[in-house]
Amino acid sequence: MSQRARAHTTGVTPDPPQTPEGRKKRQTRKGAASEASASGSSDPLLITQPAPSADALTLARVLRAVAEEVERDPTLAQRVAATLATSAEPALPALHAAPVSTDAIPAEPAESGHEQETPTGETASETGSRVHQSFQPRIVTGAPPELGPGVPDPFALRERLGEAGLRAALDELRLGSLRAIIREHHLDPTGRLSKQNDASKLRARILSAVAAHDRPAR
Amino acid sequence: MVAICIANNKGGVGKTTTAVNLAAGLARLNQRVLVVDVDGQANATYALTGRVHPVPSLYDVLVGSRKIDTVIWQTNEENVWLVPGDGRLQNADVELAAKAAREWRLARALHGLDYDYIIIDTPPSLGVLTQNALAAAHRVLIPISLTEFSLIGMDKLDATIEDLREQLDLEDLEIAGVVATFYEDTTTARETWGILEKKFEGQLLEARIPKNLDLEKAHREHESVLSFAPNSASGQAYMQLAREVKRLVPARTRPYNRRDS
Repeated sequence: MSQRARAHTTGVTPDPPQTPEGRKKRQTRKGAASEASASGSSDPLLITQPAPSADALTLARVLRAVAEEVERDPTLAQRVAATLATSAEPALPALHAAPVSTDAIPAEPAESGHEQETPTGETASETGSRVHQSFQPRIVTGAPPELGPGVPDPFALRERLGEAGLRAALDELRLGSLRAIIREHHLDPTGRLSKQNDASKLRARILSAVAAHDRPAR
Repeated sequence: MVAICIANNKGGVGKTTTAVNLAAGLARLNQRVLVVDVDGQANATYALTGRVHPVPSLYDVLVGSRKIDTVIWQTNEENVWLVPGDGRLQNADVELAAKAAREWRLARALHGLDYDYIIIDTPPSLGVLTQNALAAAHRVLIPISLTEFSLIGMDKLDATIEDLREQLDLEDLEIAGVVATFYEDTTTARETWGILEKKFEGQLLEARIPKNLDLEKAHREHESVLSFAPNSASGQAYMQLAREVKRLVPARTRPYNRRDS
């Protein structure tokens, strides 16, 4: 079966949904921030949440326009994703919430499917991030195009990209893709990894198998 | 081979989640499943492969002249293959408008493929792409969320399927069933379930898909909930749905042929 697909585009997820509770909290905080600036309050929460300036709002509008364009234009999306991946410095240091590739978020620990949830159904980390980040465009770039279509072949990737390249490519992959690589390339003959939810252990197994050239016969 | 279209003109009722997890459930019942992502949002493609808007895709088959077997991918789920979608499909309705037999392009493309099931995920509209999906399908599976909004416009889907049966000569297109999604043990959900039971008497499937976070987390990890959290309530519900669908719509041993009813 031919499996050749080269191009790779980018989508942009919308801002988190605004629940009534969330709006209420933001409105309360905004109002409190205004009061704080008037009264000189030293509450750290209020200091970190000033009312947005006209410049900030303009910048937010520009970023949203860019995000829409990135979503529309696959070529631009690839360029932006590549720039974000290679940039050593945050592109917008003035913003406390720079664009984040969700694929670059570190894999969660073994209990990722069963983490502690708040009564509202949010995870603690999610709740925390919403408190401190008012504008957070999240670019979902998906797996990089050099992986090709279907389940990636780590042996071919190492030949083409080298070990560092393979390691970087695996770092971008989530549990489902890592499990699929191990399954399709028969890298777990004992079946011990079949229920493993720790992505780092799956990556380690793939890397060790490729390094040892122990590709089993199909 | 049986083709099942997952359709509902309303958005956010769990079409893609149902397509992905039903496919994974059928695969666990030793069925070979092909998922066709007809939705320009390509969320099924992302959930099954981690890729965002890959090219080439189904668009190149429907609008261009590419053979469908050149865009079939192995997915992260064992025994599940995929014809990916991409963002260009959002313009396909317009681009297909001038083409002859535009509603039949998917059915023709699929002709002769040999899987046990084809699961077709559709966009939340009743445009040419959804018409292609319905024309290519032997059966329709309708997910309905157990919320107040889901009841609004419910008659429109019924009427549209009936219209399509007449317009496209699809007398044999049958509703495989209606599956309730976003189930919660609340008064609203129970009342909505009661209304659906009356409206879809004999068609409402027993499996109820609960509203829970494991489904969303599974998408984020690019796999089905049956791989991510097989013992979760939603994992077990989708497994029950797969068994029900397999019993109600058994696979045939012949390759795909739309006229094979």
